[in-house]
Amino acid sequence: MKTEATLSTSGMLARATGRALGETLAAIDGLSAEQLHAVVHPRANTLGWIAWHVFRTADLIGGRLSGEPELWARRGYAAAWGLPSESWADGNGSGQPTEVAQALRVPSAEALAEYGRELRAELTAAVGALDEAELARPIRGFGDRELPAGDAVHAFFVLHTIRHQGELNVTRTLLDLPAPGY
Amino acid sequence: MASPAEPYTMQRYAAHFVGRVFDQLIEAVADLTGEELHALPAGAPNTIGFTAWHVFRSADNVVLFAFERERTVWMREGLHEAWGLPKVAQGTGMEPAEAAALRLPGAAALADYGRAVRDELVPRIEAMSDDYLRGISRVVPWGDVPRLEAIGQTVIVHGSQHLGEIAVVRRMLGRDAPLF
Repeated sequence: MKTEATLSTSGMLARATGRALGETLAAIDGLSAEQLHAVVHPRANTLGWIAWHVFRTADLIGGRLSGEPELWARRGYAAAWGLPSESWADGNGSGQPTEVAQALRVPSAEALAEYGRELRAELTAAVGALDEAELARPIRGFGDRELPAGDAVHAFFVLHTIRHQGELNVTRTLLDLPAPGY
Repeated sequence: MASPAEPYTMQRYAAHFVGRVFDQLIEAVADLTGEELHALPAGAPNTIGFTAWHVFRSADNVVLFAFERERTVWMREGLHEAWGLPKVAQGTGMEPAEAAALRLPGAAALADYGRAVRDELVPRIEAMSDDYLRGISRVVPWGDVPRLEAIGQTVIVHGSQHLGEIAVVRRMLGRDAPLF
């Protein structure tokens, strides 16, 4: 962000999207299945669920932004990962009871990261290509709420991801795994 | 939130999300008892009180002092004296034991400080010119950075990460976590 050119809104949002989702990818890199699904507190989410929820949320909004099917659906991950019920196939985990969220099993950290990496590449390219009019175009968020595409990108690709990064960091610390300081 | 008819400017974007992060942090502390504010469940990184205070103080320092060399809301209102807390330090690098021992007068007072900082910052950011946002300020510990980057990192991203921490600690205390 050192030059005038880098102050373009879409460029900044694309970089922020790539950086935020990159932190989620780093937080699950190399985890064992046990670490990915560990319940560190009766009311806490697992690292696997948090990362899945972050990716699914961004993917859902990305689909609304592009008008195309979500990556999750295009790759058939719900069926491939044995998550065929509607809440897993179509939803992003918001509002799930804790015990349901804690029961999520993903095949491996690498499988989850593969989804996240491809999603990150798609979303950063799509956001970087938005012009000012497209950033202001209303899209559907969650519920019946509409919001400008630029706000949706920042809210659900960036801020939502970063907030869960705080949760990932605490959970990693509780598992005696290193977490970045800030 | 920008409406579709309004230009999607950096000022609107930054002011909107600074306000939103502050609103959520304020909501995440306002209903706590003094005991909950200072609780440190096993494994928790910091108390909720320390974390929220640290975010509010960091934003106050950056936008008022680092950008303009103005007195912070913290100093203007004499809160360092009233609360018996550091005048300048805002918690970065504080020893864990010192952070855990930090005592605030209560959730209502902390939320009021958060509101005062939010109400100071949001209109300032809305009024910043493009040139001002591109301009450089020295912000510890990052060094010389464009002001927009400082707002994005120190207020929006930093506040959001700590909001995620607070969500976990609230759950550990048996409280509902803020919805992201």
